[in-house]
Amino acid sequence: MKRYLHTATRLLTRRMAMAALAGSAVALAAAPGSTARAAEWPTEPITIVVAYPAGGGTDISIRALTDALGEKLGQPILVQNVGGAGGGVAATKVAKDKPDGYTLLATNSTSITLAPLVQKALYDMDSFEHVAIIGEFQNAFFTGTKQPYDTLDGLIETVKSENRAIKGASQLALDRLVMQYIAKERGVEFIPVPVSGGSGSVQAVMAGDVDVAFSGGSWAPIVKAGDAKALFAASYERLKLAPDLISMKELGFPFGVTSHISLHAPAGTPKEIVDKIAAALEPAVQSEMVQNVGEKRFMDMTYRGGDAAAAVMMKERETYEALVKTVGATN
Amino acid sequence: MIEYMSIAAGEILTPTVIGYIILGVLIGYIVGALPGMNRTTAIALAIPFTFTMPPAAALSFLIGINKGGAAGAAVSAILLNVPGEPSAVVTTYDGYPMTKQGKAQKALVIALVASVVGDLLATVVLILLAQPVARFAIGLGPIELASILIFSITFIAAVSGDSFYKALIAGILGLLLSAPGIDIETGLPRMTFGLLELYDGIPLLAVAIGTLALSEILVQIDEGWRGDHRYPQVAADKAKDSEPVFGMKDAVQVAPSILRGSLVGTLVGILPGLGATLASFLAYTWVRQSSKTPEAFGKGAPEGVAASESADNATVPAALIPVFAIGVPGSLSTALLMGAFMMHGLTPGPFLFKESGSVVFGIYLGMLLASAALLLVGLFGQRIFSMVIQIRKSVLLPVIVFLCIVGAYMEAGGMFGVYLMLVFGFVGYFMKKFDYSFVTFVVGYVLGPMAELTIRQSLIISDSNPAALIDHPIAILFLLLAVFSIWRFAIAGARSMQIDRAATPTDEPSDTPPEGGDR
Repeated sequence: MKRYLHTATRLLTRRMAMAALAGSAVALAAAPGSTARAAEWPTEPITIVVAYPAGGGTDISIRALTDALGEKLGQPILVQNVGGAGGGVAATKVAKDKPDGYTLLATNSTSITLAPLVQKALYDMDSFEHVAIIGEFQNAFFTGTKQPYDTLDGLIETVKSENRAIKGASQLALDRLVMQYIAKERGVEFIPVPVSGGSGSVQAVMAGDVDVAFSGGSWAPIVKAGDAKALFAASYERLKLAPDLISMKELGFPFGVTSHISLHAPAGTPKEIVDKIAAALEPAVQSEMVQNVGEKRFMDMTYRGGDAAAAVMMKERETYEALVKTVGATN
Repeated sequence: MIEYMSIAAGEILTPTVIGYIILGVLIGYIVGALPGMNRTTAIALAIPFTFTMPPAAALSFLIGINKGGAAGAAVSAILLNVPGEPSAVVTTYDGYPMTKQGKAQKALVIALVASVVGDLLATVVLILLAQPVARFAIGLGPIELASILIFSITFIAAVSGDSFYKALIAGILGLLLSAPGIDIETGLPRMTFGLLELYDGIPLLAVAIGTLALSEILVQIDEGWRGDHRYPQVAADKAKDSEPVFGMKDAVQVAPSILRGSLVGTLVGILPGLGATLASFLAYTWVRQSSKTPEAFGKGAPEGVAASESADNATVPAALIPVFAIGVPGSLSTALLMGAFMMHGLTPGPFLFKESGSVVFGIYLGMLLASAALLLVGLFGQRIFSMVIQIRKSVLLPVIVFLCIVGAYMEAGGMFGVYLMLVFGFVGYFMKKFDYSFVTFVVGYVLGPMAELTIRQSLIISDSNPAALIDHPIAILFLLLAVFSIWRFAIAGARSMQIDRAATPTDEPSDTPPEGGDR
């Protein structure tokens, strides 16, 4: 009896499996596939691939705007975190994805503009349509309160008089390049102390272990609390959220670095769709939630879409090309 | 102050908010208990649902998930020998033997009590001492962290179990596994075989799910084939008629372990990047080493479960201390929570109190309520979960395999994570078969990247000059402790191997149920 039952269930499940298979075949045949016209887009949920683990600045700003964006587009927005290789894994994945507007990449613009220059990457600037820039990190260099200097010149003088190299907490290829450039220009040596993330920079500074550190915003609250001193902004112009801080331009450098939070679609995505996303993004970025997050996280959430965004990305690329050439090292 | 408290109480002590907190703990508990599912993902998914809640309620809800997850992970560790999360791996050491002895109910209650107490104590430290403790912790730079990690690595030798050398080999293999990835100093890829997915190292969760969960399933399938149903089919509460599940005697027995576990968990939790797995591992080792009957550990000692679980849960509130006090997150789940703070208009850090004092009190109150909710959810949840061990294996095992695959897909980078998980499932299977400690393997792997980072940082900062240590007394202390522990464990371990070899020619682990933890 038991055995009979067993066979029966097995048959049953097999038949069910066949039915399911047949069903899905029908579904496949009936599906419009990727031919859905741009005019009807979107007819299914849109996935935004965030290139970093959940909790970072890019992730938080995207999560803050999904509700507003989804409402505008009439489809839910799914957020998928694909961390790895400083954004490289996600960029590779999206670059190879179908250019149908249903998969977008949210990343730090340096992973598109700088990364292909300094590490082996399976994508480049032209693997993407640059949909929009939704915000700007407030990159700056800072140091601990116990250090005797308050400026870049003070730092250089101090290490020169002590006849040693600058030790700086470095979390990215970006800050390493900038410090190496500055060190070369001013005739000192720079030794990067690798740290992980902005919180690593903050820790290194507060423990008093480094001369200088870089972060995209983590520096602001501890500087405000009097636990650290900001030295200078890494951007060419002054930072929007810290207008008192001297910038690279004023220090006499011909460039500055700004990391943007940017949104990209695989190259070949129809322009109509890109424009549609961009149009829906603008009010979403201006929503209270996003602005709130920007303020707390010390990010300047200003929307730039279309050609403006592409121009910013191009400019960034040129800066990094020149920088890599000058520093000459590939690290 | 009083004014803040009354505002906070008015906001939190409403049926809706209390309901949210219980719901959060419940979600966490279930996610924690399911192998493969991870509480960090649960928090990430839950954040959008909190947008409509008031800030204090939202954060209590999210912290509740975290707390529930830390406690829930013990359930599957005890009942199935499959830790729900890596941090519960040490709980399997004594929890599962207790289940095999028909003491599942007791093990679960001890784990729960330990979780709640550890959680509560660390929450109290957070409330009373956040500022000074966080200030102290942030002053510990790479040199101190490196010495703490070196000290922790020497502990691998202490949990060797049956075979000292095999445990050491497994631990070192675990450490080596952290070699692939981008070299932190030069920025060049190292042993990545051109795979972009390996640039950030081998994903921890793929390794953990494979070696901890899937491997156990393979072992059980293997044993089922051989007709050896090791799976306990006994009713969970065999001991019910003779004595209470958790009596005064048990409480007295495990209390010191819980206190030690809470202490270790709180300290490790405050320090950035060390994490709950290390905390439970250190607590377990400490309690075992200081026990009068260290030989009972690994065979169903309630103290082992208590130490591991209290430490695991204590790290949850402790990891929030640097977030509240300085605004620096020490782990992925706290980074997520910090993001949630910001979305709700709070700025974690020194100004949190000045700017939003009443909300902070609300969160404190919510966290205390979450501890209470944990006890409640745990007591009811265990009744239901402990039925799991009576489910037929042919039903249960496929479900767990499914969860492993989904978990690896979600948490370890898509299909790549799944393949890795499968590979490590077989690695773990053979390790279990040949009696190599998979615990030291995983602990070695968890410690590896952090140890490398901090040691290399220290070398750069100190110009590789050992004289720099003079300015770091805490580092010297831990390095001395490390030397002591190498001397103590290595010599004792090597000696025990020689004695073992002389006494028993076979290295088959004995299956006879030893007497529990009764002294």
